[in-house]
Amino acid sequence: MWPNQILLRAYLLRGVMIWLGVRMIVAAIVSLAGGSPLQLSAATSLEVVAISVILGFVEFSRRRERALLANLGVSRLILFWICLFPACVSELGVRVALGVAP
Amino acid sequence: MTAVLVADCVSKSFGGRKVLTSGTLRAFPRQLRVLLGLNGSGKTTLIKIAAGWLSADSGAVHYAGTCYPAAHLSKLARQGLFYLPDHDLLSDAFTVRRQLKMFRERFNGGDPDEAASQMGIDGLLDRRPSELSGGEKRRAELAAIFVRLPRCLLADEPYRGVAPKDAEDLTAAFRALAERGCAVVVTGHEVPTLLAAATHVTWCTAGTTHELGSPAEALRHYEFSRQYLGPRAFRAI
Repeated sequence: MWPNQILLRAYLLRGVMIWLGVRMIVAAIVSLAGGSPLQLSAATSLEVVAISVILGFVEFSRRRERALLANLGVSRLILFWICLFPACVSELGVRVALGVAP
Repeated sequence: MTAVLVADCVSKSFGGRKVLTSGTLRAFPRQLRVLLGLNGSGKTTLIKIAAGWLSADSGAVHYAGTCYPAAHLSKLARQGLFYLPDHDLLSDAFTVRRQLKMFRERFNGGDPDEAASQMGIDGLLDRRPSELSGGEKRRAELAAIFVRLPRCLLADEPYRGVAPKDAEDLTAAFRALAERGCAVVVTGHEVPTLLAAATHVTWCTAGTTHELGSPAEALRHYEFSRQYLGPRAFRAI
């Protein structure tokens, strides 16, 4: 069961913000290591997505929203997709925009 | 009468420490049951397992006639269960009104304004939970429950840190829910408040549970009085 539109919009936006934060930190690290900060390798992009998903779950727990969502019938699997979707789409979008093969 | 929820002979260990060996929790429609026990006796663990918030090492949860060997709160919530945790339930990301509306839209529930009025938080609906006091937050959570109108409510220490007046209102709300047919189970240590509210007492001790019956019967129970209520209460009895 998916959360209602207001919740979904808020959580997708939060997912994008988390992805943006992770992306910026990873880009800074790659830049310090002498690489291109924007054009990450496919493996690094996957790591960015994975870290974003984990941090998304951490954020649900930190804000103690999991009980509220569970009481609304939202399962952990749905939460996983809510965390995965914005990170995946954003990362893919950046790669396409930069002309890097997805 | 048939129990709407039974957490049957559940056990749970944490890092080699056995908290529950064989605990059973039952919730019956129109009853307000209280689960009492010393700190560390497994009350919260049992209520979390019954709510599908924590997995048991053994045993099963039966809800509305279906057996759930691995119950999940989200699944049980869709069938009418509501779990009120011992920490804040409502999110600070949204106003109270918006969250009450979420329950209404999701479950075709009651009127948020009416529920807020019932819990005396009419003027606080457009605030976020972080802007509310502890007692007001509890009232807002109860308002969410009134919007949801669950078949079964499991409330973990709802009276903790709540002023006497708010505690009275919480009791009235739990009673009102029970009168509407909801099966209510509440834990806590506020013995006078809980015993005044309860229709049935379950005692959690030494990893297991004992059904003590009515509050009057519980007070007459020798071991419960001696071990849980303490020497002063025991002498009074």
